[in-house]
This record gives sequence, C-alpha cells and structure tokens, in this order.
Amino acid sequence: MGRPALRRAGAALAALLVLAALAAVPLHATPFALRVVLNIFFGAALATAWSLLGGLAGYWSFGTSAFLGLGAFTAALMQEHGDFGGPVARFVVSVVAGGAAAGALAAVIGYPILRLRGAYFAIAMLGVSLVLGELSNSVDLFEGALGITLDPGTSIAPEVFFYYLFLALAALAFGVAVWVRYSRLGYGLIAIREDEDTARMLGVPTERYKLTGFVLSAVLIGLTGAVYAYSLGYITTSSVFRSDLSFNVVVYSLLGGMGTLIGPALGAAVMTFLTEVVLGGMLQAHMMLTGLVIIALVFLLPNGIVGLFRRRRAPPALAGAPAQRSEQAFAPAATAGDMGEPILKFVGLTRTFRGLRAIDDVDLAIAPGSITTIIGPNGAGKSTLFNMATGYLAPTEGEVWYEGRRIDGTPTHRLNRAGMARVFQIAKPFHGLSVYENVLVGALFGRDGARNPRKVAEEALAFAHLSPLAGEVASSLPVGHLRRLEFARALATRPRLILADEPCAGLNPVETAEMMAMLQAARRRGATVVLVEHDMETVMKISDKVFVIAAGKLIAEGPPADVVHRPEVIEAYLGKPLERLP
Amino acid sequence: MVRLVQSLVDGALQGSVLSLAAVGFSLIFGVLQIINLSHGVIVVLGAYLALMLRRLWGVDPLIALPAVAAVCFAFGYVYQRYLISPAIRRANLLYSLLVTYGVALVAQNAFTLVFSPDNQSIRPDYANQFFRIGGVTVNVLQIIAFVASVLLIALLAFLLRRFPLGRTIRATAEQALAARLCGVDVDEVHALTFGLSAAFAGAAGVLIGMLYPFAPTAQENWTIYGFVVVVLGGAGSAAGALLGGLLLGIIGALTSEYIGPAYPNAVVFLVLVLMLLVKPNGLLGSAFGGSR
Repeated sequence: MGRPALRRAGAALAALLVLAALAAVPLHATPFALRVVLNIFFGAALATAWSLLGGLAGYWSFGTSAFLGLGAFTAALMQEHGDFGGPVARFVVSVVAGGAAAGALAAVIGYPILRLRGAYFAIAMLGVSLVLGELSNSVDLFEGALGITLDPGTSIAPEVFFYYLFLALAALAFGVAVWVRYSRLGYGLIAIREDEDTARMLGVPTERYKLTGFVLSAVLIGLTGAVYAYSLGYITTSSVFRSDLSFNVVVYSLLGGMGTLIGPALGAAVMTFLTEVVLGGMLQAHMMLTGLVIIALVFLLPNGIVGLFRRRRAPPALAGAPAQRSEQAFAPAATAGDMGEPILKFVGLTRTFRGLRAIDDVDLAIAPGSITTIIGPNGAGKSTLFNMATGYLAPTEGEVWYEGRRIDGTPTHRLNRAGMARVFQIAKPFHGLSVYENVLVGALFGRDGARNPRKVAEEALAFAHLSPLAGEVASSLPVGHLRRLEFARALATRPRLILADEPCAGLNPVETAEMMAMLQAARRRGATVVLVEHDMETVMKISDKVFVIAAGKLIAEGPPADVVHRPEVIEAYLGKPLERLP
Repeated sequence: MVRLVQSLVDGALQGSVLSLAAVGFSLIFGVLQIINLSHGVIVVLGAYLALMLRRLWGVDPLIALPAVAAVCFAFGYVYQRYLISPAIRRANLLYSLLVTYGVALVAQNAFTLVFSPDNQSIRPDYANQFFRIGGVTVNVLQIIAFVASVLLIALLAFLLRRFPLGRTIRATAEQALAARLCGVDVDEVHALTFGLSAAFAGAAGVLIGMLYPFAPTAQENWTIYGFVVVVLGGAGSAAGALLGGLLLGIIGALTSEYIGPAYPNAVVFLVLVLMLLVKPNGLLGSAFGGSR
C-alpha cells in the first residue's frame, strides 16, 4: 500500500472512530450538553454545505436561509397536507422533499445568478432569501405568518432522535465535502476560485461545475432545513428564514478556516460552544458578547483555527488520485493528416468594438507542426485575434477554423478539450495552489483529463525545469518561474496547438532563451506553436513563418528574413520616412 | 389618477430619506470595497442620539442633526481607523465582513439594553401638519426630510467632485496603490471616507426617527436597503444613491397601493435580484472602475 493510500485509510479510520464516539454521546450526556452538541451538528452541517461552493469556488452566498427556509416549509406543508403512508413515511418523504425543493430552486436560479461574481453574488443570494422570506410570510399558501406545526411521529425521545438526525446530516455534508474536494469537481472549483478565466482556458467546465456545487450545497442545506423544522416542532417565517443564520455560516467558515474541509465544522463547534456554554445566560448580553467574540477572533485567528495548526509550508502532495481518464501520459499528440491542411485558420475575420475595427478582414492559416509568429505594433489587434481563436471573444464577422472544424462561438473549455492551449501575456497562476497542483489542474481537465494526471503533471514540471519547486506555493515564485509554470500548466493539457501571448515579455535574456528552447522542444514533440512576440531577434531565430498585423489588417506574411525587409512592415513599425530636409 | 400621483409623491418623499440612509453604504462599498454590515447600526445610532438630546435638553431633532452627524463622523473615523483597517491588515478584506457583523451584533443588543427593545419616536409637534395640492396630501415633515436629504446628497456630490478631499477619495477608489505612490495617505482617506459615510447615515437616522417609530432591530433593514440602493443606483456615486433610493421608495409605495400592503419588501427584493442579473453595476454604472 502506497503512502497516500495508507493516509487515506488512516483518515477513514479516524473519521469512523470520531463518529462512533459522537454516536455514544447521548448515553452519557446531560440534556443540556446534548442540546449544545446538537446545535454544533446543525451549524456544522450548514457551514460544511455552504463551503462546497463558498469555500471551494469562492462564491460566497449570503442566502443560506433561502434554501434552509424552503426546505423547512416544503417539509412542513407536505407533512400537514400530505395524506399518504404513516407518520414515519411522511416524515422521511417530507424531509427528502425539502432537500429536493432546495436543489430545484438552486438549479433554476443557478445559471443566471452564478454569472455574478464576488459581492454581487453574495447580495443576490441575500435578495433571494429575502424574497422567499417575504413571500412565505404574506402568501397564504405558505402559512408563514400563522405558523405550521410539525411532528415526526416517533416514539424516541426528541432530543435523542434529533441528535442522531443532525449527526447524520453533519456526517453526510462532511462526506460529500471530502468526496468533492478530491474529485475533479473539487479541483475544478478550486481553480475557479483562484482564477475563473484561466480555469476555463484549462478546460474546466466552469458553468457546469459551479452549478453542480451550488445544487449539491442547496440540497444539503434544504435537508438540514427540513429536519430543523421538525426539531422546532412549530415554524413561522421568522424562525427559518433567518438572515442571522445566513451570516453565521460565513462566520463559522471564516473562523474555522476558509476552503478547508474541517474548518466550517470547527468554526461551528467553537462559536456554538462559546455562545451557548461559556456565554450562555442573559439574552442581550449574550448576543453582545457573541459579537465581541467574533471581532476578537478576527484578530486572534486571522487564518482561522485550521491555520493555527498548519505550519508555513506548501500544501502536502495531493492524496487520492482523482478519477482516471482516457489519453496517454504527457506528449502533445502529433497532428494527424498531411501538412497541407492548416491546423488553425481565420477566414475574413473581423471584430469591431463600437466604431473601431480592431480586426479587419483578416485571412490567416497556420501550418501544423510549425512555429508561427504574429507581430505588429501595439494596438494592432494581436491579442484580439488570440481572444477570438480561444473563444473569449466572438467575431463580428468571419470564421475561425481549427483542425477542419469551425469553432467560432465554441466555449473556451471545449476548445481546450480539442487540444488548444493558451499561455497568457500576464502570467495567471492559481496563486493559492502549489506549483504541482497548478499543473495538476491542467492535467486533470485538459482534453478531458489524462489517464494518469499525476504522472502527466510531473512530466510537465520536469519539462519546464520546475520539479525542484513542485511544493512551493505559486504566489511565492518570481516572474520568470511563473511564466515557466504557466507553460508547464499549458503543456499538461497535452495540447496540439499552443497559443503563446508574448511569453518572453519581462524576461531577461537567459530566461528568454530558456523559454524559446521550451517552445522548440514542444514543437519537436508534435505541437504547433503560435506566438505573439515583439523582440525581433527572437522572432527571427525561432519562427518558420511570420504574419504582420497593423491597425487590424494583415499587411505581410512570409519567412521572417523576408518579411522584416519589406517597406510596408518597416513603415508600420517605424512610421513613414521623413522628408529629406532642405 | 390622484391615487397614482399620491403614491408617486409618497414614494419619492420616502425614497429621498432612503437615499440619504444608503449613500454612505454605497460610498464605502465603492471606495473601500467593504460591505459594511454595521451600516444600519449607524442609522439607528443617529436616531437614538437625537432621542437622547431631546430627552436630556429638549433639543429639536432638526437642530440636533448637525451635532449627531458630527458625532457619527467621529465614530466612523475611529471605527475604520482603529478597528476595521487593522483587522483587514491582519487578515484580508473579507474579514471586514466578520468585524462589521460583530459590531452590528454588539450595537443592536447594546441599544436594546440601554433603550429597551420597544419602538421609540422623536416625532416633533409640527409633524402633524398637512397640506393639499390638487388632491394630493403632503406632510410638512416629509417635505422637510425630502429637502434636507436632497440638499445633503447634493452637498456630498459637490464634495466628491470639486473638493480636494473628494478628488483624493475618488482617486483612491480607482487605484489605491497609485494614490499611495502620489503621496496620498490612503489609510487617512479611507478613515475620512468612512467618517463621511457615517455622518450621512447618522443624519438620515435623525430624519427617519422623526418620520417613523424605530427600534434596535431596525438596523438590519437599513443595511439591507443599503444593498438595494447600491444595486439599483450603482456603487459609490451620490447621484446613483439618490436615484436608487427614490426608485426604492416609489416601487415600495406603488406596490403597497396596487398589490397590497404586505408586499412592498417582497417586490423590492425581487427587483434587487432582477437588477443584479440584468445590470449588476446599477442604472448609473459603478462610479469607480476599481469596484467590481
């Protein structure tokens, strides 16, 4: 058994032991202690579920109570009006329905609402929870103003019954979180958190993954809400659509350690313990002290509780090899077909921004297996061209063809699946991930993922001479290394076509030479390379063919030595020659 | 027809005060990129300060307003400089959420302990005078509040646009680092911005206290209205806040009149969500490039 496997077995054993210990609590605890631990489970379940999207993908929702309240009301209404089965069956069905209703809501609102980023997503979710709360209060169907009584119809003592239910919910949420964290979904969500645009370029289906995380999170919160409703025994709008709960889960996750697995549960445990056991008693003073504790913890534990125990070192090598996929290990697949068919082709491509014709009727074809450079003065439209080739921009007119297929309008992550990779002008590493994890994301998602992602990642790192730095956090790397990292990550997607936007900008001559050597090595392995470059010396040395663009138009093409001497090219770069002075 | 005009007038009058209450929230969000969850607390604080002044010395709330605004300014300055800013430096920007949430919890319950959880009022005697113009009834106090709100917001707009401090604030909002390189004391500017925002919130609190009964729990609503106004009008601009507040007031009044008195909030929040989806930077767009 390898070390990761051993570690996994150890973790599973520890989890089982903890679960067994927690399950034994009701045998010994006082009712008060039982109540406190139950509340911890409730908070832990909610915060862990919230973290699926908030912690991993960085999409913070201020609207947890929307799903909680919807789950609670769905269960309550079903229990009240449903006439099927016995009370127990109705209890089970209504709880499941609560989770399903929350999941359905997430699925419906997810697509539009997940387009919002940062604070706007948080506010929109707050808005959703407020709308639902208001509706449940004022629309008669929901009876939120009057309240609904619930009864699980069991003979077990309620505190013990709900203790086990909330324990099960917390364990379920935690299990789902562990499963997601080490799956492709988890890495994809983390990549989205670190840099959503880059994630898309690496082949992460960002829309689908965000929606999946959102729905999973909502289902878990809805289930918890349904059980919560039963545990209250009587619910009104104000008892389940609680904005304070929405903010509490964020507090728990931050205090415990944002983005960690155990953090949200730890945060819930510490806050609940502090407020209910240490500060319990007078209501107003209690709430005031809760506020003070939150403020104090920000200063005492700026990285959350988990951050206290994590030494300042790179994240450990990843446990659990994620799902294995097709595709061979690293080696950009050689392009099939005859050399005559261009791998990338622009036909009559035009892009206007309002009145400006940034790209004006450009026809251009890239031969497979070549290194082609696009040069042109600043503002000529080179980056716009790349943006259209990679699906970030839609052309106003014209067509983009890749390997014989028309691709304009195809989402970026699909293009990556088809073997296209892009290296950005400004390096966009996933700052919070290690060098190895950065490249692993490329291996996991590029072209639908590699069969052996870890091996591919390691090979790509070796190719870019980054193996010794594999464990370092990306944000600690200097510029030259970042560019290499970017390149290694692109290679890990096993591309057939590499679009590199000024890969040498800001590098010193030695680093530039290294980068050029890597590009040539990539070509030797069968990849086609398209460069945007300024440094003429570099261009001359490396390119098979050069295209010159000025003011959105293609003004020259040909072998480098030929192109640089043409008058129109010199003119575009240096301006018209001065009239001879008298 | 009269019914419609009456609703529109009522909405605009209420909305102007909402604008004033929310403009500070919008300013802080636009300039500091902080979501101030304790914003509503400062609004309520303004009302309670006016209440204290009236109880102690019988000061008319309108006369107390400048003093209340000054106290709130000082509070906002100190709050940002010595609590929020150190917290952000110690952790990161997101932790300002925790700090302001904690402060809101502390303050709401402190108000409850000191002033009781019951509704209070500082409604002055002259508040009960009405007059009619062409069938539309208007309350004198609402007119006063409207004029005061619009004047104060215009003052803020003028300050941001024309005064050195205002220019510095806008520059800092666009590019804090570049402003720092130009010799701007960014921490000071942030603290002053927070102070300004608190002063406006406090002043709004006085007007709100004169118009409606208030209680400690109202703070949550005032923060939420801040969200709505930011989303409707766009972050960080005085004109945007005025527009957002007026819209909020009018939507509320129309809903109440034509759909039912139970629905204004539901409709307002629905508009909030829809606006975000359609035009997330607000009707006037974000005032600052830096705020996403």
